[in-house]
Amino acid sequence: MNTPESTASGRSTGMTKILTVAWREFKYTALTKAFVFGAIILPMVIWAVIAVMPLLISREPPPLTGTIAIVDESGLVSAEAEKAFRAAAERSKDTVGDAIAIVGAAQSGDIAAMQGMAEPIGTVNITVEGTTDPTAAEALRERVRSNELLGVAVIDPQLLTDQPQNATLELLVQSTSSPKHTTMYERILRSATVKARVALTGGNYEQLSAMLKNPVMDTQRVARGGGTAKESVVARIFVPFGFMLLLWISVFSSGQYLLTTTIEEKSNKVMEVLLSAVSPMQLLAGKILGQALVSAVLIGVYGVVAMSGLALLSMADLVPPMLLVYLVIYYVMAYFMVATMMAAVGSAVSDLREAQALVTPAMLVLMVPMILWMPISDSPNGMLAVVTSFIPPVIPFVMILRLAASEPIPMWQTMLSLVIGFASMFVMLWAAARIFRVGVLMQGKPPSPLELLKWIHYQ
Amino acid sequence: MIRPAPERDAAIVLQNVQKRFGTTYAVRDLDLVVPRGSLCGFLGPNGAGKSTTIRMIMSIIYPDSGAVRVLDGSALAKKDQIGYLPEERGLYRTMRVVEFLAYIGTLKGLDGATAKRRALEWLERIDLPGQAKKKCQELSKGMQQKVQFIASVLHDPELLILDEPFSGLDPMNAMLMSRVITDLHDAGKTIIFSTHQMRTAEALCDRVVLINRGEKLLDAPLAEVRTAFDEHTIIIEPQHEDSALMQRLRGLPGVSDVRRDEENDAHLLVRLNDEQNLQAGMVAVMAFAPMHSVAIKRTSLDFVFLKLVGDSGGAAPIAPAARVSTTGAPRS
Repeated sequence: MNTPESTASGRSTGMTKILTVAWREFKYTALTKAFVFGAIILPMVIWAVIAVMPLLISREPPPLTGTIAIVDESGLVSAEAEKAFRAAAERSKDTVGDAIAIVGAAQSGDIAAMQGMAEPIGTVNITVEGTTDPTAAEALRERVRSNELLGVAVIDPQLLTDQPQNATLELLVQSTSSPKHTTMYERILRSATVKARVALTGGNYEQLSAMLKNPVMDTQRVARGGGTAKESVVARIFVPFGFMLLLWISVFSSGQYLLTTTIEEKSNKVMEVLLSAVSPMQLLAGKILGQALVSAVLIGVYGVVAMSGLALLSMADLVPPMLLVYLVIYYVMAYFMVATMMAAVGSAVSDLREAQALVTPAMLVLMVPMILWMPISDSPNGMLAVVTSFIPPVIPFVMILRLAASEPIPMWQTMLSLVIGFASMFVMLWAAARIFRVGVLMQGKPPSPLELLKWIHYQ
Repeated sequence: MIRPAPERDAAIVLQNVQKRFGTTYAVRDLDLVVPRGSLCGFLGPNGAGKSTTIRMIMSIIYPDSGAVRVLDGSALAKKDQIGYLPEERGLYRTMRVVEFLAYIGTLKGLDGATAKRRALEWLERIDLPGQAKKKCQELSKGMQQKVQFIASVLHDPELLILDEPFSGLDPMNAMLMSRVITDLHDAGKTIIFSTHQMRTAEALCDRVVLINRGEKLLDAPLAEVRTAFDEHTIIIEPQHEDSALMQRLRGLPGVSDVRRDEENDAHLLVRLNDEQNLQAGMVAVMAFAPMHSVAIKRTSLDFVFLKLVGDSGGAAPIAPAARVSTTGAPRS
C-alpha cells in the first residue's frame, strides 16, 4: 500500500542512499593517510620550504680575503676596481643598507644593479695589485695557479677606447673560486672598465649614470569606488594566476579521484552489487557530491593558506571580498563541469590506461587557460579574454583570471558568462548522467570519444 | 503436460521477454512465473541466457520487448526487498569486511548500527568469525564470495536472486551454502538461483526452470518434472552375472532395453515398455534370477537436462550475450 507516509519515506530513502554513497566517497578519498599526506601535508611542506628557502640562501658564505691582480696599462681600471672592492667590503658589513639599495634599484628599473646587489657575497676584504706592465701577465697567472692570488684580470687597452666591440676582459680565477665570488669579480671589473672608459673620454660617470637611470614610476589606477589605487605587478599577474591555480588544482584533484573511484568500482566488479541497491543516478549523484566535499576541503585549505600568506605580507587588500564570492560561484561551475566529464569517462572504461585516451582531449581543452594566463591577465578586456569567457569548459578559469586581474570587466560579460556557464554545466551533467548509466555496465573494449557521445541518445 | 505456475501470488513474472545483443538473441519469448515461497533452480548450459534474464529481473538491464514484474512492481522500486548475488563477484578491495557489509546494508535501507550488528551475526553464521576487521583484499576467494553472499542477505530480503552461488566454493563451503539457502527458504523467502550443477539443484529446489539458447525448455515443480520425465527404468544388481544374462533379460515380456549403469558397473538398467507396470516388472525380474537389489530408478535432472538440451539442438556456443553491450542501456 502506498500511503503518503510510505511515499515520503521512499523519497527520503533515495536521498539517504545518495548521502551514504557521498559519505563513503569522501571518507575513502579524503580521510586516508595518502590524501592527508599527499594533498594536504606535502603541499604545505613545499610552501614552507619555498618560504624558508630565501633565508637559507641568504646565509653568508665564508669570508673572503686576498688579492686580485689587474694588468691595466692605463691604471684607471685598477683604481676604479680598488674603489669598488673597498665599497663591497663596506657593504658586506651593512646588509640592511643592501636591501634598501636593492629596492631602490628595482624601482628605478635598474635590473643589472639589482642583480648585483641581490647576490650576498659575505665578508670580503680584497686588495687590488695593479700593474701597467703587460708582460707581467704570465707571472701573475702562475701566482693564481699556486693560489697566491685570488685572480688576475688582463684589460685589453682597446676596451678603453670608443671602439671596444671586439676586445675582451680576460679573467683567471682559482679552481676553488665560488661562482658567487667569480660573479662579483666580473661585475666589479666590468663596471670599473666602463667607469675608466668614461673618464678617458672626459665624461662624468656619476652624472651620466644618473641621467641614464629610468624614472621611478608611481602609477595609480582609478579604483572601482572612484578613488585611486596603487598599480602593482603582483596584483596584475600573480593574484589572477594564484586564483586560477587554486580553482584548477582543487577541481582537478577531485575530478581525478572521481575518475579513479569509478574505475575501481568497475574493475573490482562491485558495480553490479551497488546497482542492485541504488540506481545509476543515485550512485552518480552520491559520487559527485562526495568528491565535491573533497574538492571543497582542498580549495578551503589551500585558499586559507594562500590568504594568510597574503595577509602576512600585508597584501590581503589585493583580494577584494567580492572576488572570493566569485571564486565560490565559478568553483561550483568548474567542479561540476570537470566532475561530469570524469564520471562519464570513468564509467565507460575498465582501467586507468583506457581512461587516458578519453581524458586527454578534455585535459587539452582545460590546459587552455594555463596557456592564456599571461595574455589574459595582461589584458583582461582584450578580444581573446572576452571570447574565451563564453566558451563553456574554460569559462570559470578564464573568468577568474579576468576578475582577479586589476582591470575591471563589464558586468554584462560576467552575467553572460554565468548564464552560459551554468546552462552548459547542466547540459554536461545531463549528458554525463546518460553516459554513466550506460557506461557502468559496459565491459570489454573501451568506447571512442565519439561512441561515448552516442550513448547519450540510447533509450 | 507440465504447466507453468499461475501468475497470482507470484514473486517474479516475465511475459514474452525478448533481449538481443547485436544479432544474437540472448533471451527469446521468455514467459516465466516464480511463485512466492518457492526455491527455484534456474538451469541451463553456459551462455544459455541465465545471467541476462537475472539482470533483467533485477532491472539492471531492460528487455527489448515484453514485461518483467518483481514482487508486484519493478525491481527498481523494490530494490530493498530483493537480495542479489551477481555472477561477477566484487568487493571494495581496501574496505574492511564489516564496513563493506554495513555500507551495502545501509544502501539497502538498514540503519548503520543494525547493518553492522547483522553483518557480525552473519559472519559468525557463515563460518567467518574474526574476519570483520580484515580488508576485503586480504580474504581468500572463497571467503570473499561468502562475504558477498552476506551482502545479498543482510537486509533480510523477501526475494533472493543468486547467480551461480556455488561456483568457486569447496565442497565444505558449498554444503554450508546449501544449508543456509535451505534455512532461508524454510523461513519463507523466495529464492531463485542459477547453476549448471544439476545435483545441487536437485538436492535443493522445489521448482526448476531450464533455458537454452535464450528459450525456456522447462518450468515446473521438481516432482512434476520427475513424473513427466520418468525413465520407466529399474536398477538391478544380479547376484551372478554371466554374459547371457543381459540377452535373456531383453527377451522378457515388457522389457524394451537392458544396459549397464555407467555410474556403477555392478548395476544393470532395465528399461520397461511404457505400458508395463513398474512394480510388476520388478517382480518379474526378481523371479527371473537371484538379485542383490532391485529398485526403481529416480529421474535425474542430468537426464532431463541432457534430453531437453540435446533435443533443442545442444548448448549454444558461448556468445558475448551474457555481457552487457550498448543495446543493453538501462533506463534512468
